[in-house]
Amino acid sequence: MFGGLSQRFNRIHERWLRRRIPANSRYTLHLKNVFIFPTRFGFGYLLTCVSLFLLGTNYQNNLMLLLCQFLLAVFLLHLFVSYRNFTATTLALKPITPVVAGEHALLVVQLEDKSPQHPFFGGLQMQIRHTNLRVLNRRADQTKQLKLLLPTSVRGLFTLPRITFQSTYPLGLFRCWTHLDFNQQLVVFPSPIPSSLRLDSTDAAQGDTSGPTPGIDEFESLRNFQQGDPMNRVAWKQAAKGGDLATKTFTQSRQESGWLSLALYQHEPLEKALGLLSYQINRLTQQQQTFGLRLDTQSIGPGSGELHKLTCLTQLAQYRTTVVPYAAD
Amino acid sequence: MQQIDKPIRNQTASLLMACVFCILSISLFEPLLFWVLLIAICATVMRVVMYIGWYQPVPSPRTINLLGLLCCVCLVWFSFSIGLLLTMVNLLILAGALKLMLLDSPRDLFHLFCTSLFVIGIGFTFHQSFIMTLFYGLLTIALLVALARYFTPSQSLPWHTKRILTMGLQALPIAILLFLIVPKLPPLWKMPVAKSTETGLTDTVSPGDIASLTQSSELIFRATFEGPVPDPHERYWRAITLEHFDGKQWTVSPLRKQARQQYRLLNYEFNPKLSGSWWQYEVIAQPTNKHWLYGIDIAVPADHASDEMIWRGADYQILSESPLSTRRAYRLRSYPNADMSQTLESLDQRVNLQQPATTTLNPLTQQWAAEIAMRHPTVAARIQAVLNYFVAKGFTYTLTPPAMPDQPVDDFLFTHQQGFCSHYASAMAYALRLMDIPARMVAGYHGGETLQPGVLSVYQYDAHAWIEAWMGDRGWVRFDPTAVIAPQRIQFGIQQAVEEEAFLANNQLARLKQLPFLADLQILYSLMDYQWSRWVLGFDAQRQQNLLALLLGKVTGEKVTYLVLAIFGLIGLLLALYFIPHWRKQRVAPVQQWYHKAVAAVTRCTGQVRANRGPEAFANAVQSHLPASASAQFSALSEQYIQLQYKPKPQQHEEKAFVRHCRAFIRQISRQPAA
Repeated sequence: MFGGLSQRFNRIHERWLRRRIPANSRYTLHLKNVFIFPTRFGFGYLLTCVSLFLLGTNYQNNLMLLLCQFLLAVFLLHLFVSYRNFTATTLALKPITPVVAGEHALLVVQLEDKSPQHPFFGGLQMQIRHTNLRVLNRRADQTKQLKLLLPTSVRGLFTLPRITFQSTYPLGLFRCWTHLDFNQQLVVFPSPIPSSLRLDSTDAAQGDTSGPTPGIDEFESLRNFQQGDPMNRVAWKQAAKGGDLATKTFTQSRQESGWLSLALYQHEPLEKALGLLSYQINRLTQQQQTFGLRLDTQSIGPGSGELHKLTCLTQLAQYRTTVVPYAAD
Repeated sequence: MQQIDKPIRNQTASLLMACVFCILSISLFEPLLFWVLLIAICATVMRVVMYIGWYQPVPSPRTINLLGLLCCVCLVWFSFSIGLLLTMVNLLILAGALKLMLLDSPRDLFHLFCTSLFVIGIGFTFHQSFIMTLFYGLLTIALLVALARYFTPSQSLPWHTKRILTMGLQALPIAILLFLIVPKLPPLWKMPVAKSTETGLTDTVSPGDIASLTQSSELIFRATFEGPVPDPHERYWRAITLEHFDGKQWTVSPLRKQARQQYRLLNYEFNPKLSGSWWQYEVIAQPTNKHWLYGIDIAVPADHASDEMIWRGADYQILSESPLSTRRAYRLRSYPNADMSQTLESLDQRVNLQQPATTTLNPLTQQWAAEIAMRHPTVAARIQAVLNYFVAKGFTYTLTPPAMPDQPVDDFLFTHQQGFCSHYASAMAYALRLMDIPARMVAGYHGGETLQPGVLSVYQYDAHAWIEAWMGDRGWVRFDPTAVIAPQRIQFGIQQAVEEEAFLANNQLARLKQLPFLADLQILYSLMDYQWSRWVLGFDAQRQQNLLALLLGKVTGEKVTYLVLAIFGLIGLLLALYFIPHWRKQRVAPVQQWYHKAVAAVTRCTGQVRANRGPEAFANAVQSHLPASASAQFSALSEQYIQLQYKPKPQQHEEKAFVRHCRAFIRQISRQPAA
């Protein structure tokens, strides 16, 4: 029953937060998005003040009362000091580099002072809401960066939950915090499973298949020297042995270019199949080859390069999944 | 790369907190048991060693728990002799020291912080002088610095100190406002008081005792008179009435104690009828851990707060409800001319005719008294005869009389014939009793040094003893045999009376007082200390009432509400002053400022907004909108501005020239009709 209640409360809280602190990629902290409340230590401090008051009253000792009132004044001042310090900063989350399932995604939050006269001081703690993932950088004012590693276990597209930032500067009496939604997605690619290349040949004719093309990769044969052949292609060894001048020819191998297709792995479990494809995409990109990717209905046209790889891997990551909130388990 | 922080036990914050704790413990040297202090110091040394890195591992909690248990057992053992309050203080320091040994997590640090704050509060029960308050204030700041350092390790200690000091100065006005308006409540419940060493007068006086008090220049109390101040010979401050004599020493009569207890149970306070002129004054008494207070006869409380605190005894003594463990202020009104005859005569007679149980003591005195009684039938004549005897036999007044252990009164009266005030008082009171005249000894202080007009300081060396005799209808009458022997003692105080002797011979401080420069400093310090006691330590409910009355006129509920709201408003205003940023001076260089003014003038004239255009671009853009001369001028200005902004080190006179040009330009352009 309590579980249900707290869930409901969470939902309401979440909704309230969405209205109060709408998603943004960069936040300037101010009155509307900052919360402040005494910490446990703050309450302990107040308790000390109360005991001093009782002691001072019972002993009719004005100095004790003065001490107590001074400490209370300090407490009151720190409400404002804490708040002003926390709102002196602007927080932005750097785009998250996609990772492979099983690896850790790196969250980097950049701090920026609003004005050089009032820089941010002290440490900053960052925690993914509703998880135990947190990091406290006690020198955040120096490093201006907070880094947090998020473990991933399965592929997919995840929305990043709100991140809670909190600061207890300067005396730990007050906790200033905020829950920020940076509106970013975490892309987790399927983890690659090494395998040999399997390209879909059924549709190979679609591409340019006119045999090997002259290139520079692999040595093919020698032919007679013709006027105009580059000097560095001449097979000088043969010439030295007394033969005719011959020119070496090279080809660019194209035999492995083609389509990667999920259909080739229909006997494998889906996750494994995606892993295999993931590996091959990486490999093909490494070899700078052109390839396309076919999943059930979607297909990505042939291409090459890093961007193409990312597109393909992202397709794999979101294949037959929906975008869910990130949850560390 | 993020710098890896050292574990808490090796941080500067921990070390600083340990040091503060150690200094605190040492400042409580008196109330602390020696071994507790030793443990506190050991714990600090351990911290230092850990900080330096000679030894790393923290002792296991089990070891410390065992140590703690052992210490508690010891403390329980000692608690019987030192009393509840001191046991608590010791326990607090002990707990702090053990925590210090274990210090390994932020929580430990916080606990230690709160404990230290509390110990500072406790410190104020033992030390209340201005200097010590300053000292504890600095320790509080140091504690806050240590804590701040823990939370922001990236900044240096001086940086933190500066911040915390600023913050402390900001907090002080708020604290003082709170101090002034938070109601001063009466004690909520009874607290244990310290059983510390008692100084000054005791309730047992043997003739030699008071002489030893004159070696001390310790302050006893200060009295601030409203209106006239009594003449020197009238300043008899009663502290204790001693009515029981055992042949050697005087003590408070057990019968009197019993009667007092009964009266207290019945809540029947002695309330004499008063008449004649009076002096009104406030006494700020130093702590003595005794109940008795000081007042000139007949003293009654002058206001409600003092009345709450004071119990008036039938022996004209005024007593505090709780022992004076801290400086305490009370206000009295004294009626010197009122008759002291309104007590229960039968009880007074019975108590004050008591004689030592052993009749073998002082036989010569008994014989002598009988002779006088035979020769003089009236009370007054008998008393006069005793005083005459002192004068006739050439008795002398001295601080260093020979010891008279066996037959004190006989030896004094017939052998040595020299002594101190208590010798005279003791001998005379005893002799009167032998002559059937109720008599008793009063111990207290006589005199007082004028600190400033209307303020008297009374020191330990002003201790004095005199007698009272019951004279029929007049009741109790004061006689001071010392005044007969050494009139200058009464007229000018003890320093003049015993000039030839080594007054305060053992007191180095007193000797230093002879140097004129130090004497001035001493007076300055006394004045400061006086104001401190009066306005800070003595700020009680009564003073608060007076302050309210001063501020509001007649104190009504409505007015108090407004005052409280006003104070809150004031605190809010202070906070706004500290934290609203616009009030801080914007640091814009004059060159920039004047350029912006010039741009604003151009905008007014042409309607062209500069927005984020560069100076040159803007100058070009407005060229066509401005009259030719103004346009040229503005272009030149923009040029100059760029020069000044990007020059590595612009000269002062160049900047001034630029400002001048700007001013001229603005003057000129504002005369132009708007486009």
